[in-house]
Amino acid sequence: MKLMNPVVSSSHLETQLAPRLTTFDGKTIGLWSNGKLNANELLDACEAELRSRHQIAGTVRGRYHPAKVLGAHEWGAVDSCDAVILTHGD
Amino acid sequence: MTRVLDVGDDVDLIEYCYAQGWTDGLPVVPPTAAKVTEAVAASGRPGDDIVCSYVERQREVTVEQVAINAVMAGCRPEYLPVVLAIVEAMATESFGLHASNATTGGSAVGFIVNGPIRLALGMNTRGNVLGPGNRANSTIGRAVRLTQINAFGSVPGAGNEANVEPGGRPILDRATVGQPAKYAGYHVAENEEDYPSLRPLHVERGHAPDVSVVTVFATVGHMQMSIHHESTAAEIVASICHHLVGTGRFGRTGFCALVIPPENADIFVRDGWTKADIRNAVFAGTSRTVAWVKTHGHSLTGGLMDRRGAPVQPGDDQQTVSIAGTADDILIAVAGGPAGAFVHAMLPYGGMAEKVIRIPQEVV
Repeated sequence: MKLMNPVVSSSHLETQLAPRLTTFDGKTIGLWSNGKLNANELLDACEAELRSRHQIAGTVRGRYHPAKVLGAHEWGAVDSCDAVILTHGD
Repeated sequence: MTRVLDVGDDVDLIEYCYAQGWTDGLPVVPPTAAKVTEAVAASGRPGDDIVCSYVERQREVTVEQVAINAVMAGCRPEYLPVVLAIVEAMATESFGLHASNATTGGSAVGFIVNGPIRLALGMNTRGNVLGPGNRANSTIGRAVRLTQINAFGSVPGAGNEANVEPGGRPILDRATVGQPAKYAGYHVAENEEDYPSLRPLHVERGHAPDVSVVTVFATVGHMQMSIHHESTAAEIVASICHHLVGTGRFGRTGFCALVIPPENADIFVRDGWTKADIRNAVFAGTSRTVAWVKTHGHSLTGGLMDRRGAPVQPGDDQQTVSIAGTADDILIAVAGGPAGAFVHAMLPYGGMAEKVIRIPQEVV
């Protein structure tokens, strides 16, 4: 007896990662909260760690909705950042 | 992933499907090649046609893969065009597929089917429209969930999150509690025949009456409102608004899906109300200033991102929020049995989208 397999596996779609930074020094880092309870606590810790280890130019804070696919205009000031760290989960 | 599995001749096929982690906890119809081929043929589309590119999970889902899951759900072959349209709608950006698949909240898929396909498939538009009993409504909804589990990889944890994954696949659906509509969805087919002045949802949204369309949404669940003592259209809407405001689900975006049963539809028609009138009245009747929301113990974003009863800020009395982003985001379908004035509301846990159902000529 033969059955058709209903499971789909990853197929490595043609997506491209954003260029990676080679250094944090002199860079503006976005810290974007998903609005969940511990997000800001996590981002505060990230910022403290970044500042202790690197000479970053500064940080920009933002917020996004965790259950929506946002349009480009809904991401706030991400364009002013060299890299953005998002929180994820609860 | 192997497309065809030789499972041997002495295997209990239902138990085999369980062992692979392919089910939703209920038995499935074993997806034999013959049944899947018949379903693909009934769609009028090539089996390798891509229905959905799911970037977050790095996978593309084809007509054949949806068909396999539809067979397992118990669909008749001719149901496949509706299942495919639902999956295609879920793949559009406005639906928010990954959030619905991966949230710890109880996000279920709801859909409203309009147009000739409803009756051609024998879908139920009347009593128990959201409940059990009709094969098309039930199995189309279940096919969507099985597609989520197997094709999208939204494998549900079922008390075993820290232990062995079913079928060796990683658990993506770590819902805290889940909800029963995650078995077969909110499977509405609208009663378009009995109240022509309350135009069908798809016509209200700009489609021709003879086109079949599915409107799909991700929902946190539903609220059943008893609207028996209201004798005018205005009273009905006032009571609906009262209940909706009580949910505290205010926002500047989002949808609200309402199922209006015949007893209430009769009154709307008698009083000369259209669906646009109902939409506008519900939108206005649930609009509140942000200051009102905060001072009445509610939170924006339904508490997901905002604390309840936050301090009022300057300008909060100038900004309004409502139960939906706009009046047009209030989706109204007439459906249900002749007795009982129970209006049902489904509120968002994700977005919404619509898709025209591609129907082979011979079906309708």
